[in-house]
Amino acid sequence: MTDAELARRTQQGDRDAFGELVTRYAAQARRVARAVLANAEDADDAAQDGFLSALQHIDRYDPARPFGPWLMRIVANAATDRRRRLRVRRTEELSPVAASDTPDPAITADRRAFLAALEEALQTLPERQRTAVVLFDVEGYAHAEIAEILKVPEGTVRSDVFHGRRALREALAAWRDWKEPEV
Amino acid sequence: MSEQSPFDQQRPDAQLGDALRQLLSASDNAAFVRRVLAEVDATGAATWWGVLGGWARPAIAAALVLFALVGFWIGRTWNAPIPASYEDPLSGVAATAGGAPSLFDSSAPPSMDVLLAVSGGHN
Repeated sequence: MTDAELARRTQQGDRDAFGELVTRYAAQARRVARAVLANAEDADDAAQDGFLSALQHIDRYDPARPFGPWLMRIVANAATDRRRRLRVRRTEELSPVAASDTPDPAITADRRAFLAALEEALQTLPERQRTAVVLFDVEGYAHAEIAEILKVPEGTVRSDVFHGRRALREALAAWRDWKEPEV
Repeated sequence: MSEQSPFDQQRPDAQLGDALRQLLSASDNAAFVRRVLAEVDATGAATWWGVLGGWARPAIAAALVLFALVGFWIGRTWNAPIPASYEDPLSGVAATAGGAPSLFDSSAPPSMDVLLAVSGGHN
């Protein structure tokens, strides 16, 4: 069933249809919220806010348009709103690397260090650049879709992605090999 | 390190994207989904009414306005004054200044001049 059909059913009060939409977009929404809010708990709260807001305004969704950008705009706005209400806490927690997937603890520690450096570099970017880079390089949205999500011109998105990428790569220039060594 | 140029705007940076995905991904999405749906259920009727009411309330409001307008129109129609064409044609013809007096004007008895004029016509 397509996202549009699930959204139509949600508009008619189908709870299960909404549940399926949440399932499909939970990971993406949490990542986008995490790009805005460094703290994982705050990000999950914001992602939840986004889903609830989407449900309350589901009648405004046009099934002729893709659901993802519509939802991500709501999630991004919810995350921004939450960030403004909170005193931003610079997280010192390490990235949630799935250690069980990497049998070699030394590799995991090295990877953790790299991811910590990446997170620090990411947080130095302006919020819009962070969000644009994540939406483009992580979630795979097109520039035009990101422009719709962030409500900025497409040219601005291209500029944000360019500058954001360059800043991250410069910050991580010391890490010569990003890939985890094969065990 | 793969040196994908930041000038390559057409394609996602796979290496950077993978690293960011690993950084930003949280665990246990299933638990998050359950949390969201639990919140939906907790807000219960208010939330679903908000969903359904998005179209129902305007429709109900429009119906009430329509009924009010129809009722107003009906009331005006029933209480409207009887048009002059339906009144007694022999009444309401006012004996205005300079106008001919009417023998059948119930608001005033006919004058003697009128009576004499009428009776004189049959002689």
